[in-house]
Amino acid sequence: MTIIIDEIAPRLRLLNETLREVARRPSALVGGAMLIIIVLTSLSFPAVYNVNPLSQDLMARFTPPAWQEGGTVAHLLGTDNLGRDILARLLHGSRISLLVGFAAVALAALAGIILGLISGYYGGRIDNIIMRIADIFMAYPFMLLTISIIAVLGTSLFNLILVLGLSDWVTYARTIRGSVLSLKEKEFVEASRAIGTPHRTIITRHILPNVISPLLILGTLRVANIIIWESGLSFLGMGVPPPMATWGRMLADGRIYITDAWWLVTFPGIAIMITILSINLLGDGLRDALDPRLRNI
Amino acid sequence: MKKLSFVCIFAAVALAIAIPGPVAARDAGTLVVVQEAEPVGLDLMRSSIQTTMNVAYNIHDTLFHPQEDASVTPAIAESWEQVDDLTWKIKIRKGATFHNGEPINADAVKYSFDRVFNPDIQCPHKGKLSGFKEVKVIDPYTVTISTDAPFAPGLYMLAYYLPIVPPGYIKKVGDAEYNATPIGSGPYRLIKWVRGEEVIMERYDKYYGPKPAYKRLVFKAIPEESSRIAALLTGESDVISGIPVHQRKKIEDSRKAYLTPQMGVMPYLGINTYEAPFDDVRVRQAVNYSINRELINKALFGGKAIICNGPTSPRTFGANPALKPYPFDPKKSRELLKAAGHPNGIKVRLAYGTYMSQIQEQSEAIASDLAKGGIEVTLEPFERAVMWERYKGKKHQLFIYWWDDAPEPHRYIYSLFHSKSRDYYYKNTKIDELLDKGAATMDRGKRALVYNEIDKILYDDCPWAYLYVIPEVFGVANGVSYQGKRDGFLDMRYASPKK
Repeated sequence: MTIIIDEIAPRLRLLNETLREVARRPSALVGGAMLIIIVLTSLSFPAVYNVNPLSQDLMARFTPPAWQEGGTVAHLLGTDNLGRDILARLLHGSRISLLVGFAAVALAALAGIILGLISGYYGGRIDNIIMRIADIFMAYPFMLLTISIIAVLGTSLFNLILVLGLSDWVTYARTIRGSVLSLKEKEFVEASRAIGTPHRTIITRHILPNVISPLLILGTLRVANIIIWESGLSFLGMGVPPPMATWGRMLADGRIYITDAWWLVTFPGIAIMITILSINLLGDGLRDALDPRLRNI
Repeated sequence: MKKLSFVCIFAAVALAIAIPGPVAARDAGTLVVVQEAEPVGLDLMRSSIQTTMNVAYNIHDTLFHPQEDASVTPAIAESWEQVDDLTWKIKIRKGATFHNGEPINADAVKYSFDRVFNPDIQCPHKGKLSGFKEVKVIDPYTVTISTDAPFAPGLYMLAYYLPIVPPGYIKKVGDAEYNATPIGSGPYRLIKWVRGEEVIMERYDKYYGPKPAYKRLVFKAIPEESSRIAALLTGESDVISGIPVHQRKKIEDSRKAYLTPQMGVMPYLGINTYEAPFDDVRVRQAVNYSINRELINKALFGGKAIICNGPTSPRTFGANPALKPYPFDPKKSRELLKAAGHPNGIKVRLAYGTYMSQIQEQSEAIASDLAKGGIEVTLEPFERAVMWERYKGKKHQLFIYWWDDAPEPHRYIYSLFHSKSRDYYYKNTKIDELLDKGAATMDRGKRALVYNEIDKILYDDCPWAYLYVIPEVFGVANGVSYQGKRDGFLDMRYASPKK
């Protein structure tokens, strides 16, 4: 028991310190708070706002937002081209956008961590092979890759996450490999190796915990990117299939009505902007907080 | 020195901006038509692209004028008679000339007919005229046209796809040059074609028929739809094509222009009748009972669409007048599904192409209707080429495609339902027989009855869920009187200043 506490205590202290560092930076604080609000709102739906995002009311199509002439309180942000409630679709879409964002990053990070650790730690031929594969992935245009995979697999939520995750592992693998390369020459790793600790243990116990902070920063910033990519793919009709609501699809469907009904594209656009902004602010704050050179110690 | 050249350049630019372009050179005798694209060539025999043919039809004339009821009236042909089931004898108008003065005679007709089948021309209309055998010159102003088998829509096809061209001129300049500077037999003659800008035409004063009201005719291209609409509303153009449904109200509300219907787009919901659950006619009928066509028409098309009863558009020759559209009856749909052994409803796939935004909207509305009738739909959006490949590969279960509602039933009913044409999702030997009979029945009244029967059989058998026809429109400035035609072609001889 005491061993576990001994193990955990310093890390908890580190986490506590980090959080305090983050909290000292107003932009990170604002970003974090905004993100928490967004996540909570998307999770609380439909408990708070119980309107079906898929139910159509064709005769009520293009109802403007409540504060405009012709709007009603029943549809606070108005309705879309098939008379579906925009607020409900926005809330529903936030789940999908966030789910895709976090799940794809988790998938990419997982693949990136494993390959990056192996590549950096063992070096030699295996490093060469993995990095050349990474080069191929980087040289291949992302959109082309995604479109070809989607064309073969078809559109679905799972495929979308898979595709976005697969296209993004390279960034993680390269970052982690770089960190591992410098870490494995450090004394504590050499000492551990000298007393005969198996490679696997060295990797998981000594190296992995030390690459977590760059990974965390990278992951946060990539979530924002993935959400934008998801919007882009949905916009091109290759994201999550209709009638499921996502922000990108709402933009795409509303595009042709932009001159007649501005609210179709404006609200999902704002939603994407706020989410990306909050994640980026948080990511920036995290980077500053976790960088020892920038810390006021 | 440097400063001076700068001043010079500045002055030149300022001058260029200040001097009005050719747009200003408009007068009451000029009609400006703006389309989505400029023509690819001006030889009517070498293109099947609508925007190209629109321009070329003003320069060229055919033997007959096609009518909205799929009949024809005299044009270059003054009169005609049917010698037997396989031969028409056609008298050609005397004294009519091409724009260069070359006479229009029997030799020109024969030359034109043979040119359609000249492999160097690669005439895209060849297939539509493949039922014809040959043209024989009887005397300088009489020809006979014969077919291999009785071909009822023959004259109507000739009215569209056999422009009469001048043999002398073409032999002199060659086919490639003819495509750029054609000499036709139509009401307007080409003055010049400034590529990328405009095609300018002038009234041909020796035209045999009624003279067009406008002396000058200009075709321009503006690819962007809102700019095209702006051109109409600012008076820069008199007639425009390519107006999406959601932009129409803007034109109507402007009070500067009006809309006139033209060709109709007829979307349909195709059903794979070869595989379960749709191999059962009751399930197919259930689909027809679960679509609220009235509401879709009212909400999406402002009530301007024409609801279809069966596969034949109500505007097409041979549509059965006794048929009524399937009503929206989800209860009946569920009963039919139950009777077919699906008490809990069915789950199916509905494919559509992503390249037309309004099809996606309709697909989503239809999917939501079908769910009410016990048919749960997964939407499958496909890119254009994938959609088509899957269509031909019989991979769709339900799918939405469309056709134009041509006045002549042979054009689409045959293409879509005859098993020799496409048997991807449906085959019915009775329909095959009737379609062959319909093409070969020369008497118009009897022919209508054959198509009535086809309409009725397909209505009951439901190889499609029948939807509606959405009329496309042209936008016309208030000062111009012009009525769009069902073929969608912009034949500007019919336009005149509004009094």
